[in-house]
Amino acid sequence: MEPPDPPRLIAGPVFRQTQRKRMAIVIARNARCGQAAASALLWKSESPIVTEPLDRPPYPESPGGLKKADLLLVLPFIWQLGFASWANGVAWAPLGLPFPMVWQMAGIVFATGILALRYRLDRARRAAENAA
Amino acid sequence: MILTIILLIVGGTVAGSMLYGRRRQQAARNMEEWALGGRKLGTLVFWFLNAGEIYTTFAVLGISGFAWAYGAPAYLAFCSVSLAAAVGYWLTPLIHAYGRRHGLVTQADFFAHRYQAPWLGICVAVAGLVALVVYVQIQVTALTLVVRLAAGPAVSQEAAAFVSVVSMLLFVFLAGLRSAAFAAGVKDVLMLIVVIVLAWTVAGLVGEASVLDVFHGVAQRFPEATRFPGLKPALGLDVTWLVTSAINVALGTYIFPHMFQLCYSAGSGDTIRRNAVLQPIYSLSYFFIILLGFAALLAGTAAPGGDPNALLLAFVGQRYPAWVLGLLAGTASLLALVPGSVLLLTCGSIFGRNVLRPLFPAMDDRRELLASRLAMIGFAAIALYLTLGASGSLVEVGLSAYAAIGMLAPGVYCAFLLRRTQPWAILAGLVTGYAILWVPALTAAAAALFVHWEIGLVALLANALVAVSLTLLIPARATPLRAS
Repeated sequence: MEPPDPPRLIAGPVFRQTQRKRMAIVIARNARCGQAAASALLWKSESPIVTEPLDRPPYPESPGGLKKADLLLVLPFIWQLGFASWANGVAWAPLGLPFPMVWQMAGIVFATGILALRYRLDRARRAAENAA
Repeated sequence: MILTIILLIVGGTVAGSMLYGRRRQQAARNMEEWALGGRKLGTLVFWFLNAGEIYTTFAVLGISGFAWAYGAPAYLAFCSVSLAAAVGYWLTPLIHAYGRRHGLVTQADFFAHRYQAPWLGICVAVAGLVALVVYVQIQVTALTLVVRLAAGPAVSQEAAAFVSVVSMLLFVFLAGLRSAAFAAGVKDVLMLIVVIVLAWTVAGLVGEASVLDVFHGVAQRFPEATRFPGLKPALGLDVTWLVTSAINVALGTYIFPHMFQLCYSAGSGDTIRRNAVLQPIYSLSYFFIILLGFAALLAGTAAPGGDPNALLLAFVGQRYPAWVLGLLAGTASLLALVPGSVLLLTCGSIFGRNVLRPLFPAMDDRRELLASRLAMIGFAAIALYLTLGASGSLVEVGLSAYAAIGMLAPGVYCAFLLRRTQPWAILAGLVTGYAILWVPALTAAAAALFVHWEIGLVALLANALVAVSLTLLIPARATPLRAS
């Protein structure tokens, strides 16, 4: 994976100023929170406690990227879409059901199996990480 | 009798929602609480809410009508959930983690924060609102069908649509997101009952021995219905259409602002992953929806005005006792009301937070909340206007909503895949995509170039191509200055 870009400054002084102002609003609002508890009616409600991301980092942190295990997630597409054209041509009708439909339904079961496998792999990996 | 059952179901659900909501929602009623359900929905509630999103009118009324009118193209339903879950398994935990870390509430917050560009947040908010309103239109269309069914043909289309929008707004104001979770639970249980009752008896009612014989009968009498391109080959709903539409739906599902917001409100990343594993299985029950459409085809049911959206209600009305129709109509109301209210809530919070607030930073909070609630009424009115002008199938309207929201997809995927993506590259992609969708000459050119493709996917690919190539070709400005 490529190293993180250096931090960028896009927010200009005006934006930072409004942000400061907003922080002040947020602090004042938190103080009013007790009051908010008292107003039970929806129409009298107090509004946002958090309105703007306050913990704005100097630059956005690491993006998700793709892992090798993510290739598994492509398999349902191959089953349901990659083979759709082939399935459409199959004349066999298992139990009298049209094959293209049976193929898509089997694809759902297949996708669930793949996702369950992926979930187990993720859990095992996390358990191993925690143990380490 | 039908009206009584509908009112009982809807009234009971609203009352239950309010009780449940009151019990759960203790103190602070602030905007975040109201719109996000306090960020602490457990697996069960989250699952119901999420599944409820998928069990929409698009799926039930739309797909049954689509199967009846076009045949095989209705199989698209089987791809819509599983493939979206495969994408969601990777994408949604990332959205969740990012949103949690930075205390984000809406999708536009995400764009503004990730790309460090408040103006992009405003653009995204407006783009999201457009797609959401189209989605609300689906719910209004369905609710209008139910209102017309209950009130009789004496009530005009316009009046029925108006009543639908007003009841949807009432539903929103009587219940916040937390109560929508309760209503979604009621709706899912009722939907299950309705589907079991209908599917159990449908074969006998159309003169077939078993469910399998219904499909066999269709294959005998309407052989073209069981495979692509279906009953109306001239429409071009072939395998290419299926593949491109399914990809567009899969990429767009979690880009809808309300789904995005739902990712923030999940209890943990693990909750959403587990949810993604469980969700596709739900979609196997589209089998019964397609069964009903095919049964109506065999029975020679004619939908009023040839409107495929009205098919299921018409079929049940003609072949079943009144109480079944009442149950279906009541459930269909919830089917439209629950997602409709979530969608309108999302519209309101996006408008207040990401359009009004950046434009009028000095605005008082109370006024912002009031404005966002008034805005919901405005959005409902736009959806009403769109409903009156529209004539397409719910599936077509649904696909156009996906096409509109797909324009935000490159921005979301790039956020996690391509670190140096610039906000103006995202904007350029957005403009390109919308041009293909909305400039008739460009749409025609794209349709001629990509025969039978879902136009939304063509626009999405063009959008992504522009955004990514601008990012890669033009070097990032070297301004490593720090804010401090």
